[in-house]
Amino acid sequence: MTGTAEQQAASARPKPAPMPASEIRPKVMKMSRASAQLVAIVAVDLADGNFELIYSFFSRSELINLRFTVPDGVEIDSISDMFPGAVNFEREIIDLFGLRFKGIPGWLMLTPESGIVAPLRKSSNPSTPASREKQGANHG
Amino acid sequence: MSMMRTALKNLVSKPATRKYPAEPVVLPEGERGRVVYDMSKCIFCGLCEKRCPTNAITMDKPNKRQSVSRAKCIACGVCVESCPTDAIQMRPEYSPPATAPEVHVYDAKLTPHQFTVASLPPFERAKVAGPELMPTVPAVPSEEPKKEKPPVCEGLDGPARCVMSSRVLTLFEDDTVRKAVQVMVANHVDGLPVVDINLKVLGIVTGTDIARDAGRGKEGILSLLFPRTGKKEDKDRDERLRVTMGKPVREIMSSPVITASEDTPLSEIAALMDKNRFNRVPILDSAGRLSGIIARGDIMRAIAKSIEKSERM
Amino acid sequence: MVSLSVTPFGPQHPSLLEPIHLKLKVEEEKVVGVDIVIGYNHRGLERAMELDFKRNIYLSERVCGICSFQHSTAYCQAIEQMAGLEIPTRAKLIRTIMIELQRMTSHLLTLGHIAEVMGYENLFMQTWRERESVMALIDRIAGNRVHYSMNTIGGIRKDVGYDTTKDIEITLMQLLPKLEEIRGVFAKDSTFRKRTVGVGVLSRSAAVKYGAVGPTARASDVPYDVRLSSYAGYGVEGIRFRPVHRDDGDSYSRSMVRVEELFQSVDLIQQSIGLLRDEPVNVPFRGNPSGEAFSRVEAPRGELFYYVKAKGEVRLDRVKIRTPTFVNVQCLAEMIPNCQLADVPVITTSIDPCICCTDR
Repeated sequence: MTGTAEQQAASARPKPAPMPASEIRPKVMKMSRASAQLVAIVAVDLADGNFELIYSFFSRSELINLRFTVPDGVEIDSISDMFPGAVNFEREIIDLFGLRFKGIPGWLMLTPESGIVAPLRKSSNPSTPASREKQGANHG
Repeated sequence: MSMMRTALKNLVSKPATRKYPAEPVVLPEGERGRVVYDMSKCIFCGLCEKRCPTNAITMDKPNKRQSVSRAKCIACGVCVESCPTDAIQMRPEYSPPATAPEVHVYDAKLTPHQFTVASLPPFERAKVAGPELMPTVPAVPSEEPKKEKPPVCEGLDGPARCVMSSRVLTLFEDDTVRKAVQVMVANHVDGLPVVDINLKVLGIVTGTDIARDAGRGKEGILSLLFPRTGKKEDKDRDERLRVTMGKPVREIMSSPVITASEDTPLSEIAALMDKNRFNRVPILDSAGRLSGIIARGDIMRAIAKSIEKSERM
Repeated sequence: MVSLSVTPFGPQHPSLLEPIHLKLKVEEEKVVGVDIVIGYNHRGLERAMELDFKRNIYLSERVCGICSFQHSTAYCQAIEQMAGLEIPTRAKLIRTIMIELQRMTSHLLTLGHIAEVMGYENLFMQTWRERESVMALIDRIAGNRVHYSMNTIGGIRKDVGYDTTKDIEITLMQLLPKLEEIRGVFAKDSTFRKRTVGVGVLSRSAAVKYGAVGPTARASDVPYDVRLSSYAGYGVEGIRFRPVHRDDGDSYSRSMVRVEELFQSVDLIQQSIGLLRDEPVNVPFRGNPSGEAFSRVEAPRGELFYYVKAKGEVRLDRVKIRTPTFVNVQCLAEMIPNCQLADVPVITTSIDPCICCTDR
């Protein structure tokens, strides 16, 4: 096995199933009560209309990753009242993926005048299969 | 208070910086600067082209050329590591300023580390340098008999290919006179043929041509050697030299050029040189491309070798 | 009746190395609020990294210039973790040596920069003069001063010989007395102390709330150092160190944490050189990665976090880079209000902003 001690421990544990979007606030509240530190919020486009949000926390010398699956178009609860440092992460996800968070404005990395919309979505990239399907019958 | 002491110490000690460009920069030997190819070792396997992270290398196997786009090269050294025959070296150099993104073309016909520079002309600067830059030279026709051995080089009056130097230093017509002078000084030659990207000879540039362009009046070249007077003539002379150095060689070169083919016997070439008072004759192959050059020095060498051989016999 | 005006600090400013826009709400020389605008350097690198996983070794280096080796280490570690590769100890120790050398150059740069923005040019030049000996050393080892290109998936590309390790040891021995001088100045000089003590205070609770990392957090009594998680050479048997830690939370503490870390880096390098044994420096890596990995590295500015997801092709599915300044820059909203207008450059520089990392 390779990696740091915490990585070995993390990969030994069975991976839990991702949770729905409604569980975000209760689980994060538990983290905040345990005085965890927010490390990152990662959004991944699963290419089937769903997005996976991974909330990484560092608590008691280990990295805890909470995974949530959210469908496209749903407004997600923000955690910025519990963790003010989450605002930048959520704004970046709004810019790059086009998701929506309650009460959080976008336009952190991109400007409204640039005309670029959700560049990190798989459907926005000309080389991925998801976007070729979107373009229709031209691509066999 | 300690800073006061340091400040006073700095006032009297020598500066910590290097007085570049008055003092040259000494780069450590492992410094990653420029990629050069030794085409005599290149087997055209294409590993360097495949592994380059920025696609800076383009291989032209039918024409036996490798070209490195300097603007894209990040000097990472992956090509140096992946070459199976050690044909690629990383030289410690800074990139000199240029007016257009340079592409260095290494041809198997030139000397091992020598290259020609194909700068993208300004209107093509926006185009990505890649396969588009490699010219579509028609491949050598396959019916050319490969088994025919070249005639044996016996005696003094052999064909030109026995006497010529086959690794030729060349210039492109957009290269400046300054670059021509650099090449001449570095390689101890007095004249260079000017070629296009298909190795077709367009003209020849010699030191005399350059000096004639910068000289003035009926003294011509010799006006450059007059002692400096401290008056206006010095400034004029410096200005003329400066203008000449910046010109592209196509304005200075002599053309059209008298050339010979690889089979021309040496006596004919010597007669050509004598009649036209040339010092060098470029040699072309059957496709009309530059394949070598015969200069007076090559003829001297051939004479010396033949005298030596006949003395031994 | 006091009047409120909005003064822009940036995006172009003589004290800033990179563009960041702070809208300062000023009331007669006292700043009462700040709006932070970033995104001027956004290059879309997370998308660019999805194209080819082998090219990313060199692309990840170019996310940032001052912490380039950390980015490349974090990326290579993520791919190695996905592939289940165990890299040799010698490679881990060499990675540690280069990480610590880069940390030294980065801290010396920041300390000089803090001195410069308060007008203390003499100290700035002195600090950067010492930085030059480390940069020249790195040039001799890696071939370049900034982008080392030494990492590859599976270890280090080329071995570092005995001459090089001797060179490192000698340079560091010659550098130590000069670093002592610099420490003396930063710790005791009254000009420096007047401009930094009590300026830009970040309390412990605020640091935890915002998720601050790196020297910014360690100066506010949050002992968060990713090196304790034993990545690269830090977990090798025989390496001992303790994170540097202060509890005032002002600009002076942040600078002093960096000064102390310089000596910690020299010590770690010397320990690593002592533990080097003769063995190969890389293991071969074939095929394409698949799976996902989280990789964390302590960059000079804090914790650098990489998430890489791959599906067994040359293209990667998702690369997320979370850089330390991305979270630290939000702490400015806590530190800047209620300070004088002339203190804003000092506070901004004391968190060591690396905006090209923030914007990627």
